[in-house]
Amino acid sequence: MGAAGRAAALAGVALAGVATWRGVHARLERRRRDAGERWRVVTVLASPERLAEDAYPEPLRSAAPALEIRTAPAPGMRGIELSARMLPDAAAAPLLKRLTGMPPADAVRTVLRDTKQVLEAGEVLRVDPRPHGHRAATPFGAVVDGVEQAAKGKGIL
Amino acid sequence: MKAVTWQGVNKVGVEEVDEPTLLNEHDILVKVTLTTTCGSDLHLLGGYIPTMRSGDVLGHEFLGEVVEVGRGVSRRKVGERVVVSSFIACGRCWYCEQGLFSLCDNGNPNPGITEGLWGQSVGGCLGYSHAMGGYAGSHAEYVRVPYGDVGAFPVPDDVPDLRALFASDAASTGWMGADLGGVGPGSTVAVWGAGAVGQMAARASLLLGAERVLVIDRLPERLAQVREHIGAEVLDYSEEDVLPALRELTGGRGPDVCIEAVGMEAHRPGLDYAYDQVKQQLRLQTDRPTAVREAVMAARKGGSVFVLGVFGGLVDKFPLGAVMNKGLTLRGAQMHGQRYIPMLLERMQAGELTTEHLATHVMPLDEAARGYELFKSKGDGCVRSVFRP
Ligand SMILES: NC(=O)c1ccc[n+]([C@@H]2O[C@H](COP(=O)([O-])OP(=O)(O)OC[C@H]3O[C@@H](n4cnc5c(N)ncnc54)[C@H](O)[C@@H]3O)[C@@H](O)[C@H]2O)c1
Ligand SMILES: [Zn+2]
Ligand SMILES: [Zn+2]
Repeated sequence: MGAAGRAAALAGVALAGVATWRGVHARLERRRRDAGERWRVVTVLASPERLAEDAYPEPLRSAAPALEIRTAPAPGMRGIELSARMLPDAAAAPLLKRLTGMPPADAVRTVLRDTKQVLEAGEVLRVDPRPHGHRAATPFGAVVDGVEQAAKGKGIL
Repeated sequence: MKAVTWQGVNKVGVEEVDEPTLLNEHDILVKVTLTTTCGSDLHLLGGYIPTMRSGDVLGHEFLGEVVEVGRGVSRRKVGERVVVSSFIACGRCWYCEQGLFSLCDNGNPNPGITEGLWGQSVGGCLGYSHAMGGYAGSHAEYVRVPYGDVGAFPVPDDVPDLRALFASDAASTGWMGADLGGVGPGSTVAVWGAGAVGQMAARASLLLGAERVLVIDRLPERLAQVREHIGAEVLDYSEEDVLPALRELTGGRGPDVCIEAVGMEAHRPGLDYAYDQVKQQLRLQTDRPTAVREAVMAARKGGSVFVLGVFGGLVDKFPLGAVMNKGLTLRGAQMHGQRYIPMLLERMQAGELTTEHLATHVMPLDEAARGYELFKSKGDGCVRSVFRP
């Protein structure tokens, strides 16, 4: 297969990947509507005081008015299980959108992941701006850019 | 500054790019002295890892000098000569505490991509696609290294650059395969692939007490290196049937530990190779698992198989029945460099582990396109092309 053929095949795979991702995402969203907003959970290797209700770190503190939040000790000395789901409140989704620019499920994932990172590693890891060469404007490139932009909020969490 | 970038499938070149800056308090900035090609880059070049973007800076195995440290950095100092783990790890999460650094929960800013692909997100790696974090790589004059206190290690004065360089990735990876594969005193070990990674796995096996170590490849100059520099035995798969030969060489048992250091672009004479090629090109499978299949078939009953070669997705015709019925342990991982680099540097200093022979082609960064061409085609006896920015 020539380079062009291969690039096309690649773009196909990427699109299929995104489609699968969308498929999974759509299924999760449906489930959420059926069963109310699902709990999403991360385990944070930190002592319980660091997640005391009056001492939430950012971004959890700002997002807290939109969320129902639970904590529980994780088994095997693995720290704390931090769970959150969006409150059934008309103001919740707009607040999450304002804080993260994302739809609710993605916003909850992002808030949980970033909060965990702040507690464990001290701050949220950044990657931009980074050195790069010429970014060709191709359909495949646009897919990769889009995938990366949404990546913090996606997944199975 | 100058940097080597991925410009599309099988296209690399040198471009002028912005210099990196510190972005997090735990970052350090390293001026790159030496940076090497790695077999993993070939999978990116060939387009087998589909989250590359044109303009991405390549490179993840390197050595350099610390030129700037963030406010949160306490151990690394400006002026130190350091070797850096290719995988980025926070050193503080549960996985890091277990020594499983490439599984760090806080090393990949794009967790949703690999979580979608594999069910869980794994750590990030410099210069290794947007799925692995989208970091700019080390084939450049300067590179930003997050969690500098955790991933960068000072090199003892008497360890030469061309030795310390490979602690960054190839030697850590090889050591991990032998260590987590369960190699110990008296083990019999077979290693598929006589590239830098396979050679390091073989050397690690010997240093961990293995009694017999066999390395399988077809490239004569690499097999010669294994005999001369590693001290292991060799098997040329273009001349011998690997399975019966391994039985004969291991007292009829099969190796206790099989380490695969070939990856998703394995080569093989014969029909099954053509079959795998076609399926991979049509994207009916993403990887060619030739050597893993063979390792599973070769392992002794109750033995273990460690997959060091990089795979991205799905494979076909996998002998799961052999794994189950022979009671095998099948394991793999991206490298846990932070766990092994300090020990490797000590062994390098003591002369137990030498790697200079791997750097067959050292050249200026400007010649990276030629360097990758040589490395990909294995032309002129190339084992690794190494660039000097
Ligand atoms: N796990 C990790 O963290 C990690 C780190 C570095 C590299 N890697 C992977 O390790 C693999 C090897 O890396 P490298 O730098 O040594 O690459 P390399 O390309 O230099 O070496 C691969 C070798 O495998 C041989 N080979 C091909 N098909 C074979 C077969 N069927 N049986 C036996 N040998 C065969 C080739 O002739 C070649 O010598 C790559 O897949 C790379 O991505 C993994
Ligand atoms: Zn590598
Ligand atoms: Zn970690």
